[in-house]
Amino acid sequence: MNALRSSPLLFAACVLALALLPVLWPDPYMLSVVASAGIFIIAAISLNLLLGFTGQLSLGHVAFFGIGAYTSALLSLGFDLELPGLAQALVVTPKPVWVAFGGGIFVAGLFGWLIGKLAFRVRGAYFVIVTISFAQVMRMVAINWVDLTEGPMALNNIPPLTLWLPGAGTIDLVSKSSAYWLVLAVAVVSYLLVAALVHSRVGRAMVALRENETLARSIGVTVTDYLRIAAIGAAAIGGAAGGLYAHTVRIIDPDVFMFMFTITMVIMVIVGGKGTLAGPVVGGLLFGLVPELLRGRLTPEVQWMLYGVLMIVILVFMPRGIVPALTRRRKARPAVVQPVARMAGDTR
Amino acid sequence: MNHATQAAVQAPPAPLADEVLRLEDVTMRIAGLTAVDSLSFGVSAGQIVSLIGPNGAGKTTTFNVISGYMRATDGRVRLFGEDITGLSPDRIAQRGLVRSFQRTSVFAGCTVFDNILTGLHLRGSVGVLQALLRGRAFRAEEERLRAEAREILAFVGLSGRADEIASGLSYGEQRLLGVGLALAAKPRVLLLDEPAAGLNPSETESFKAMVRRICDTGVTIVLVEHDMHMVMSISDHIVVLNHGRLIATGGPRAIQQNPDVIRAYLGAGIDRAKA
Amino acid sequence: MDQFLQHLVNGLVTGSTYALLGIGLTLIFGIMKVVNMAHGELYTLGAYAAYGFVALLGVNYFAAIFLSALFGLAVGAVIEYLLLRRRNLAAMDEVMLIMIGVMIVLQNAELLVWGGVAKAVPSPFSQEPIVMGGVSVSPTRVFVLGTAVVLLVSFYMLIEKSRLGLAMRATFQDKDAAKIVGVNVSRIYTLTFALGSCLAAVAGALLAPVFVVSPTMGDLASLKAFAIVILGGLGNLLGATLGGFALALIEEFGAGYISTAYRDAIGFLVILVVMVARPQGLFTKKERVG
Repeated sequence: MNALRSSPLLFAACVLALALLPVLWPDPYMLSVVASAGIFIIAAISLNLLLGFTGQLSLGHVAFFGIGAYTSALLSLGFDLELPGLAQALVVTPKPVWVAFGGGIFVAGLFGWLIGKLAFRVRGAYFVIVTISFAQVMRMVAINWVDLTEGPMALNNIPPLTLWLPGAGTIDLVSKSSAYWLVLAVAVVSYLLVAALVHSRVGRAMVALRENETLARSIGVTVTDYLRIAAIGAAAIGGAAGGLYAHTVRIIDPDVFMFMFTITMVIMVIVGGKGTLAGPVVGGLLFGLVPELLRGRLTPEVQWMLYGVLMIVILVFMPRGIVPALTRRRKARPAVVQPVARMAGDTR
Repeated sequence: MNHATQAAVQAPPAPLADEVLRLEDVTMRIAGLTAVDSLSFGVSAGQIVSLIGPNGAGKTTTFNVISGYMRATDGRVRLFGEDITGLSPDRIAQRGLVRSFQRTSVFAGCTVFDNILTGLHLRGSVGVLQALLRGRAFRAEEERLRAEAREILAFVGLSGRADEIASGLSYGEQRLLGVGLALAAKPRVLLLDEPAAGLNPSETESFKAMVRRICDTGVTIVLVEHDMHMVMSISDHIVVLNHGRLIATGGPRAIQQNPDVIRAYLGAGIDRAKA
Repeated sequence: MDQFLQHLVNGLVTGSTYALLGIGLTLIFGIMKVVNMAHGELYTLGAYAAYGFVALLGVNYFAAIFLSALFGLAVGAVIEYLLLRRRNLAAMDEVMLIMIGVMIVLQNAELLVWGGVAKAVPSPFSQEPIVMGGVSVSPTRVFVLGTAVVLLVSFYMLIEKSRLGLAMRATFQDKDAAKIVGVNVSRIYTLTFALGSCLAAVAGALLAPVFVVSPTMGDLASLKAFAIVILGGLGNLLGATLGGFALALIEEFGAGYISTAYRDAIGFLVILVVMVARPQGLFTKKERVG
């Protein structure tokens, strides 16, 4: 299902509607809720590239989110690090946030490349376990490397997002609306990047790996190359989401690497529809906004039980997710109409 | 094995000038079993060669070794003179040898058209950056690939099914799609693994005609087949395996009359039956 | 030397329960090809069951362990029957995700019922450690080691000597061939999942008085179980046993001699190192992975 190809108009309309939200309904609380849902949508879009389109069940995705968050935060705060072997501590001065943000994306992408090299040496169940372990190791590093990450004491006072425009210089984005618009912009860019990649020779090779890897190899698709592209892309976009998170929430601690966040992203992608462009958006909106609606009414434990049950139900009854189920119903209708028409005009 | 066949098999034929594929003493041992034993034969350009033999003779294993899905325990495989032993299937495909599969030979979740378009992977060169920037070169290549996909669909006779999801195709149509996929990779040597299995007689006839048309475009074809009518009527050359060993090669008439071949298929019982 | 022996003994105690945990997981994978992401939750369930029986119902501790085992058996059977039967288990990704769903539901149910505060299960043994030759061990831990070893041996007897064990081994090797000779593979699957869950629950019940019981303990248990199973090779029962002891000993000596902070990380590091160096596990012969 491709919302972009079948109606660019629908896509543009949605983006416009979302862009006008802060103007029509300037409630700062609501904007921060939607912005945070947006950050998760970006993370879900990135996971979908690896999980939905390339078919690799990577359950360590939160690692890239966290790496992006920490890198961006640290670069914007500046840090000094005593490294063994260096006489003087490594000093990094605080960088403008938009530079730090870029750094977060870059470092996350780098780890994506690294994991691509290591994790894909094993496949199937082993691969899943390696990816989970990778995220857990990152969490432990964040907890224990207190010199760098402040450990459980958290990095706080992270500067807010800034935007750099040629001519205007660096603009501080302090208001909720401007932060919201930046999140929306990054989300739209991520969506378009993934859409562009998927509708190209590169994307087709990735889908081939998902559908039938043996067959893909026989027609010349080099598996490791395309797995690596998917891993780097997913990691970089995930890192962008993490960076946005760090500068909107402005305080991060090792809990940002929690397995639960990976599960949240996975639920968004699966329920929304893996391997579709609209799936992570639908899933992200659902699981980003519903908890807010239920806040106060149902305890978090009960909410999570519901999400768990929902995920199981979807996997059993609608394994392809919500978006494909809806589009299948739309495609099915013409098939019902046709035979009647043919019978009416049939002269056989 | 009688003397005539023995002589034919033992004397290694001189490599022909237009030889596209050659196996040299290829041996494949799997879990203690010798599936293929010192197999040597050559395939000349433009031929249709069939690889036959009773079940378990090692035909599909031979295909696996040639196309890189298994690494030969011993021996060499040469494609256009180049040693391709041990290369991965994608590298071998990039060098012009493509292999189709007996089962699950399509991308089930994609449409028929997208299947072929995906198969045209080697016909394109667009990378990540070009895909993201979508410049003129990208769009030109996409157009070209789409046109080629339509041609291939027409060639295999699936134009009318272009927008169907591959898993919804009938068995016979899926086999055609599988061949179309392999053709999309623009092979110079095409390995077809039991392409006619499960087809009814009329489907088999159209399939045979399609194989001849493929050969007419200059592609060398190697078939593994059980349908003897098809093998005898279509092949320029036949290679017979039994228990992983080469027991005969020759044209269809010679193979049909070869006592070793008959014995391999019917077992020693034929002698007792004749006696 | 005393230090070394102390670590060795501690490692053996934890290792024996790790082995139970690992065997359950590898059994389920070996026979059903299911990666049971909820395995750690059965461990937690067993621990909470023990707590419930002992602290709330006043049941005798030893009986509580037995009851927790039965509880684990029952829950495992129910999960298999409701969610895994009639499913195409070959779709490994979907099955894994379903088990993650189960994990979420179970963990949050426990949070809901018991609250987030850790619970202590009173041990019927005295708190006086037994001291032997410079090594001190609490009686509870001795009991844990003893029970675990008995269970491990019984389990092996079941697998190697009984008809059920024969049916399970047949299904493990070739489920279609097993069907042909009359094995009810569906029932074997249910029994396998139930048995694996039972082993996890027993491990939880045994360790309940040693460590505290909290709803999130399953996460760590799950991941250690995976480390054990990877060390030993997925589906390799002996490997899982040896892997359980190996992981416990690596953790003990690592924590003792290198750093206690990273103790729990060791499991993950083990996974990563083994995956890179020898993906088929330490105790399995090399075969094509994936």
